[in-house]
Amino acid sequence: MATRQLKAIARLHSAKLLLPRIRTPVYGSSVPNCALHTSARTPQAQPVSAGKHSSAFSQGQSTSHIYDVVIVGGGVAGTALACSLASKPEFHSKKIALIEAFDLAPVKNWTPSENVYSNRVVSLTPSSVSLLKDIDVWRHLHQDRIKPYDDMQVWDAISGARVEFNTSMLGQGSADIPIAWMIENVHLQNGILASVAEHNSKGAKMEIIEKIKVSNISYEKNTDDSATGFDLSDWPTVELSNGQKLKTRLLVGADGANSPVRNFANINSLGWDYDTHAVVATLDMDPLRSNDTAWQRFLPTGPIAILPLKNGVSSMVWSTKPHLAAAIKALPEDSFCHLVNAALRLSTADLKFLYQELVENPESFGSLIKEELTWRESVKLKSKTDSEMREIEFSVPPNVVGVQKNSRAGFPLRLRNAERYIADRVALVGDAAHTIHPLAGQGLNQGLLDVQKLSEVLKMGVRNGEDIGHIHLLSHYASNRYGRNVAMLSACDKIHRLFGTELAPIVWARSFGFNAVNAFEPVKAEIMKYAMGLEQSTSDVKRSTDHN
Amino acid sequence: MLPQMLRGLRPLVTKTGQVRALSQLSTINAEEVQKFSAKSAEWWDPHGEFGMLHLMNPTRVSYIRDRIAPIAQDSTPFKGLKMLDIGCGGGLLSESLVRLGGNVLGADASYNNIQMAMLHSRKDPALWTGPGQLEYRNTTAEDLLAEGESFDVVLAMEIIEHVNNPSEFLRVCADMVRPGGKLLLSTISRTPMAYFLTNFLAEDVLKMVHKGTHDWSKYIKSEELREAIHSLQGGWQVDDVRGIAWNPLRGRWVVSEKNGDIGVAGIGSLEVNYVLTASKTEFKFFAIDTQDWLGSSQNCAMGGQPY
Ligand SMILES: Cc1cc2nc3c(=O)[nH]c(=O)nc-3n(C[C@H](O)[C@H](O)[C@H](O)COP(=O)(O)OP(=O)(O)OC[C@H]3O[C@@H](n4cnc5c(N)ncnc54)[C@H](O)[C@@H]3O)c2cc1C
Repeated sequence: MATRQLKAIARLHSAKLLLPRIRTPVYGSSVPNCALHTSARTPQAQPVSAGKHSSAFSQGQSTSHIYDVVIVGGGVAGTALACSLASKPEFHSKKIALIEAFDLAPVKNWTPSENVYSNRVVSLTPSSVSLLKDIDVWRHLHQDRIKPYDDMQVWDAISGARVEFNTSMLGQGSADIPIAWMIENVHLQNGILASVAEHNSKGAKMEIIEKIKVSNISYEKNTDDSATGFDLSDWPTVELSNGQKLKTRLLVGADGANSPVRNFANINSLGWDYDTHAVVATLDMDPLRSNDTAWQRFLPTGPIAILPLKNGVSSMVWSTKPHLAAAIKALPEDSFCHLVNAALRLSTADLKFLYQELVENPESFGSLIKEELTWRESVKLKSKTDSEMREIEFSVPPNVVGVQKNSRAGFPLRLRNAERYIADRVALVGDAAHTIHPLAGQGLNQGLLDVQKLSEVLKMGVRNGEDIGHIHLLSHYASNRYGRNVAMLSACDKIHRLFGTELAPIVWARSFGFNAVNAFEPVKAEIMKYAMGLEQSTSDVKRSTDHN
Repeated sequence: MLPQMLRGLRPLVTKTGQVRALSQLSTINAEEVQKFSAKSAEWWDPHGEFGMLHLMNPTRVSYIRDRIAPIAQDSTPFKGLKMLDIGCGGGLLSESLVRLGGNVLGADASYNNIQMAMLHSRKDPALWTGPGQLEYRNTTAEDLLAEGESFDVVLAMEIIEHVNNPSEFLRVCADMVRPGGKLLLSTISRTPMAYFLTNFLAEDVLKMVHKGTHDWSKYIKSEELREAIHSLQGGWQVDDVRGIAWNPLRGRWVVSEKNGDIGVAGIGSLEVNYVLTASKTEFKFFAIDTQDWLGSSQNCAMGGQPY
């Protein structure tokens, strides 16, 4: 960029483009002394000509294709950014558009239907929730459709070691905060879009362009210079599938893991694919047991998580080998439920046997799994007292009794981090910047933290009269988010690797780790605060208040 | 009045000790103009020699905003204010002021700088679509005053250390401020610390800027500037003086939190960069329309109480 600018400057100089010495006063002598006449407006003056070949800045030229911010991608990160900007009066006079390839109507028109839940859900951390409150989204959500939980049980299938997290450990002030809130992605987005609409009714001018794809992004030489007199050669030009072209001061890539914006900016995305797929599903749970705990069991093939949505309904994320994921997805409903129950209860050796049968003898798997599960469970519970049986039963999630129609889906898992989050006039947020293993449920939460920081930095830029596409301003965003995201990414990656092994020393170490962690409340509290984004948000607040 | 002012600025009086008539006097030093014009092509490179100035800009704009329109929440707090950015260089500050709604005249004695600034202003349509307005002129403070120009706010940022006759320059700037308006100055103090940082480190060791960019003997201590302003005609008072320092940990310039804190940790001998706001409190009563005066809003550069 620097060299591009210098070249441009050099070109201008060698062309000896001499500009006329401007004498036309921009403001007449009738400009009032502000101290005395505050409401008086300066008379509109003729704009200045900046080049003799162009009718530069002449009035009446259309600038409708010129934007301050164009956000590509209407996923959670993109819509949340749009909402965050729309919520700030500083941006009301800015021209901002969000472009989404898909139709957002189903999201806008979504209404909850009792007991039927989407399979795409997220757990929101407290810092995400406070952002959503700040930008007026929380009010627009159906509170009874959000499931907070304050208890989390994580255990290791090989050693049996277990950690229980409970917010009561965080001490005063934090005791009442849930660890996280479960919400369907579509519900969250529905609330965000409702909030954007409300901000628009109060002065914001957020333009949402949907069902239109970004087909190309480029820098344009000044072909239409003479028309506007502007030199926007270093502003990205966003070409839409309907032929429209937008020029933007700042281009935000909220366009997901395959980010076209990131490709345009020539930013590499570093990382690897896990040899793992996540199977998601909405499960009907034993309604007789209360459903207030998030469960996660680490299996050698990857973790299986059961997250509460309401009494009797949970969401599952089961990370496992791709061929197993495909088979699990395709199982008849009842066998699927048995297998999920088995994955939460049986030993790794038993599971290994079941996987083998699943792949090699799929026809007979249904009857096998049913028998196996009943038999193994009866053996396990044999000669146990009632209270012992209760304890065993309560150490695992409620029984899965059904799976909702069409709720099973599979996602390949990968770790990616863009080598930079910014370039000249470009910023990346959400999955466009980083993709994480879902085991800690942090992906979208990290995206929301990106959104919060970027909008805070842009607001500061507007308040200081900066060009909000300028790399100096954007670097405040990148330097704040990059390290934190990398830390979270590598923590989750290490956990994935640590639990993906059956080597004895590592199993001992991790069982020691788990049990030690479990016994040592202050450490647990710290881990939990980190995962809940609590530390992050407090230090961010401190940072943002002491700027300048 | 004049001798009084000169006393305040004693170390800065020209060698001859003479103050020539205004019309003949140009405070612009031809050598200085040459130095910056040669560099003007690199002005806008965010990673170039002026990179530090680019980084300082948001900090000083934020200071200006706090002094001039502390309460405004919108994006155009300077709307309706006529502002002069004297020594505008490549237009860094002028552009920011226009984005915040000001009617800005960027003036510079260097023709190349003005060209640079004008060329660059074509890169941002927001500078031309209002409500802020922008004009660049290749002229000097003296000529502007002679032409009868006056402003709500005059900003002389990082310039007084480059002019030949600072006391005269200061008077000319002050005379262009309308009653009730404000004058903002930022500069480098004449302390050993300043010498070390700007002449020795920046020029000799790190070679961040061209050798000869700074002339330490022309630096002005904040106390000298304060005294000089108090002795100006027109009822001047200094509202606020603060240090601006580079915070390497945060990677940004930071203005002291308290009025009067200029040096590092409040130690006067450590003062380097500082910024000052003064207001012209003398009202020309015949010019006041009482109605408007009473109805004036917080957006304005009102001559406030001393802090
Ligand atoms: C199984 C699974 C479970 C997860 N669980 C959690 C969890 O519990 N907690 C959590 O925080 N995160 C979780 N995540 C991660 C989370 O879902 C993602 O991080 C999040 O959805 C990413 O949002 P985004 O807006 O950045 O990207 P996306 O949702 O991918 O949105 C990108 C948008 O850009 C649009 N787009 C792309 N290209 C173009 C184009 N050329 N033109 C126009 N539009 C375009 C797309 O249509 C899309 O709408 C999970 C992920 C998976 C796979």
